[in-house]
Amino acid sequence: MRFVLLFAALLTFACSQEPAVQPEAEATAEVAAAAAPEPAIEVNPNKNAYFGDTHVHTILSFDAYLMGTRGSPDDAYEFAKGGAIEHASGIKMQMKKPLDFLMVADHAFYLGMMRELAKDQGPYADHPLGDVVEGATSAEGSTAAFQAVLGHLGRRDPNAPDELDDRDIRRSAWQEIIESAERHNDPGNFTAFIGYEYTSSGPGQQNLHRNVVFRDSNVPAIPFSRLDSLNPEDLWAWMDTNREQGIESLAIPHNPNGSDGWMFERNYFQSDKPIDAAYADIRMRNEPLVENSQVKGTSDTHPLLSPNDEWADFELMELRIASTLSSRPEGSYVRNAYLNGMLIEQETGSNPYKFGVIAASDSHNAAGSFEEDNYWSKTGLMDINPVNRGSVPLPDSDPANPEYASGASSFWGASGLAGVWAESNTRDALFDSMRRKETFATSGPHIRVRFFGGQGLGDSLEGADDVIAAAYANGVPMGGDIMGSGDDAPSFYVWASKDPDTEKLQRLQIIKGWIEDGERMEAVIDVACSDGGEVDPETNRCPDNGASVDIATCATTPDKGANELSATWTDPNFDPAQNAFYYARVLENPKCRWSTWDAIRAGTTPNPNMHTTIQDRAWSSPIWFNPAAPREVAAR
Amino acid sequence: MSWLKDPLTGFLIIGAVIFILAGIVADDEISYDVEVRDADIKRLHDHWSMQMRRPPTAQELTNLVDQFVKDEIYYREAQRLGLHANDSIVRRRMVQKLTFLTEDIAISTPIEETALRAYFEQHQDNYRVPASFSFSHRFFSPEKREDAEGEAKDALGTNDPGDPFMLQKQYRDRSEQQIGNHFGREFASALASLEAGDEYQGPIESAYGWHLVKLEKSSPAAVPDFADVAERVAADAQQAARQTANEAYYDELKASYNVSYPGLENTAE
Repeated sequence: MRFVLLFAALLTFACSQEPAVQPEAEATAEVAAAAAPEPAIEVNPNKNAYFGDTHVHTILSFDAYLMGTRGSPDDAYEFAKGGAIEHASGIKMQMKKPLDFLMVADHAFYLGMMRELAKDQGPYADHPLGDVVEGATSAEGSTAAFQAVLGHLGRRDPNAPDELDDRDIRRSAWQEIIESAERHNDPGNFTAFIGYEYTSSGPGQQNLHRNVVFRDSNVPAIPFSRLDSLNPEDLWAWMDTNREQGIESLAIPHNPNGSDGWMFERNYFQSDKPIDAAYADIRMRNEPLVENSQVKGTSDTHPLLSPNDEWADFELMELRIASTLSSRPEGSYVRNAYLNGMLIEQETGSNPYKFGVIAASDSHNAAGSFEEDNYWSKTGLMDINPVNRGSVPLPDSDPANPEYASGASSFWGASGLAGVWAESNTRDALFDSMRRKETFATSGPHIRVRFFGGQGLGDSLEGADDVIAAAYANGVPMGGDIMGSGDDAPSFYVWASKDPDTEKLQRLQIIKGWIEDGERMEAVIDVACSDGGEVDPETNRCPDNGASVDIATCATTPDKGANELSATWTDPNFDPAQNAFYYARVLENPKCRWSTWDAIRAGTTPNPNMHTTIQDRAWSSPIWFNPAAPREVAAR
Repeated sequence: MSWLKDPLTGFLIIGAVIFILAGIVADDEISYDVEVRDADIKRLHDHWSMQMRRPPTAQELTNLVDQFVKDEIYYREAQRLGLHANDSIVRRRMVQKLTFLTEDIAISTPIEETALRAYFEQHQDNYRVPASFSFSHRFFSPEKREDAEGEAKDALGTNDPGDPFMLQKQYRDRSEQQIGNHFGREFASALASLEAGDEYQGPIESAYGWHLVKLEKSSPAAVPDFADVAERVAADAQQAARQTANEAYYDELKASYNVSYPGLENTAE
């Protein structure tokens, strides 16, 4: 196969006087089909939506091990391909349908170490933490072990050697991860990325975690971890150094909601120095994407930041990670970061927050939990019992006045998935799409969403034979930039389709953000309604489509909602001198939330402090409008 | 030495050794003689060097030996006091050790090819490749048409390309399961029942709307050649052998124990 690809590349190069970049993929597929007995990789120049999860922890993560998880990287890939694997409690975990790609993302620090501590033989057989690690066989034992190891981490002297930071063990665990991904990567059918989690945080548990994704099997000997530096800027410098040596990667921050404003700061890390063009440059080179939704809450926006968005109160998790401290919304949510990024751009000329979105699971069970009616939460033995995740009353509480566990798990949800538009299901194609932000996020279902924009795009799509080919030819896809030219308002083509196994679609929206006289502005505009509804031009809202849920049975209203929704929308309030971003959001009809399913199965009523229903959704990466003449110059 | 390859013989030998060892501890008094041999000192030295990445100094080594002696005395005293009984960690470690011992025996010998082929013959269903389908389709959207089904019917035999579709318009060698994942299960099962041919058929309803389908190729489920799956068969047969051996070992052990459930009997009365 390698020979065929090489031959194809040579052929393309030799026969073409044009640069070989564009036609290479197609030529490769054709030549391979003719010459190779094995089937060629399917290539769709209009791109397919591939669904995946770039954030799964296995036995090699210190915390997953302590939660009882014994699923290996191989198990995680088997599960992603549609197989059934075992939860720490012994229950079977399986999805309704498989994913197209997966990345095991274990914590780099103490990688593989808990497994060593639990061994009877070897250098760590007598370590003082051995017994507590071995005792992590119940919710209580896991919690005690987790606290003990975090205690060790907290007490360690950064200037003295930490015996749990054993380079040989980390290296061999990293090798296991690499080999497992290599075994499961199957170009054209399933992509296994090699990667890990860089688990940094501020002194008050301000979350700064990132997942590092490597483009291919050219990876460093050992990952850069929080024990190397807590400063994400050092991670980017390391990635830049790798890049110079041909090791290509990108980092994806997650849980900005738990960062207390630190994820999307106005200043350099722990400094008074304001973000400048140099910061924007290194950050955007290394972090083109952010995880906007996962089991530990959704970070799209917050009701305090978006008071006029009726759907902003969605799967909120308002605590800092691994703590009970509250996290302030400003600087902790994606939409707010887009607005702040444009403000910084007005001051410095560069936008540090021009990123796209994906979602992921962050499962610590080696298996993401994406389905409301098939939910096993995140932390192994610690929250597999519905009582421990607050959906079912504490067993000794008064049935007339039920009390609930209030641990972190009670703020979590069955989310989310990464959607990537790519020509084929290969590492190269998916990675390149992630780098150019042609990605979307869902809160669990396999909802697909297309989004294109451009000045005059709407007219060019009228009567097109192939609307997607025309949109690519005359506009930019999600993640792209419209470079302003003339006064024509940009128009947007948006198209969404449902997951065949979940609810139908209720409405399609465009979210616009812009800066007006130094103020951060945003608007949520319905652009297509289900069930024949028309958008009210005054309120920009669809009529209620009447879809509802019976909380006693989880039955939903039949015959409501759409299989697909699409619209071409032109911005009526366009100012050619203003920076703006636009992204699409599509909402499903409501259905029972996981916590309601838990309650029904336990024969109790749903926890009154939790939402009983959920409107699962998808978000596209934005398209940015960049004025030809920036407002500052034009107006002042 | 074929007797060594028989797992059951292996178990019996291990069993005998364990029985003898257990007998020694039980019969003899726990000794008051602590012997520190050269091998013990070397092990302490090496263990320390491995953890600390340098050899111990003379003083450090003396401390290690003192600690070893103290551990040994405490260990014997703890045994004398019966502290190992009813300790869940000790109990778990011992159970683990025995489990590992028995599993090691079962997987120590590779299974011969004739046996693998026989295993493959007996478990063909596990290796069957599902039926696969290659097809093109044209989509008629109920969101864009009053009567999508009727208009799809009318389009049979015409060149009407139908409506734009979110997924691919052509698929190659997909199983019914895979087609169901994308289009909905009912569409997949309807498509799987079509005869392959050059003409568009249908319409068939999916999760999205109505489709005219040209089923270009339909390949029945098939059992692959042994050579193509030999590696998987070897792993599966090994796993099966391990399981059989473990069960046999446990059955044998269990036969010599009387297990009763007095609590259950009481509640039954």
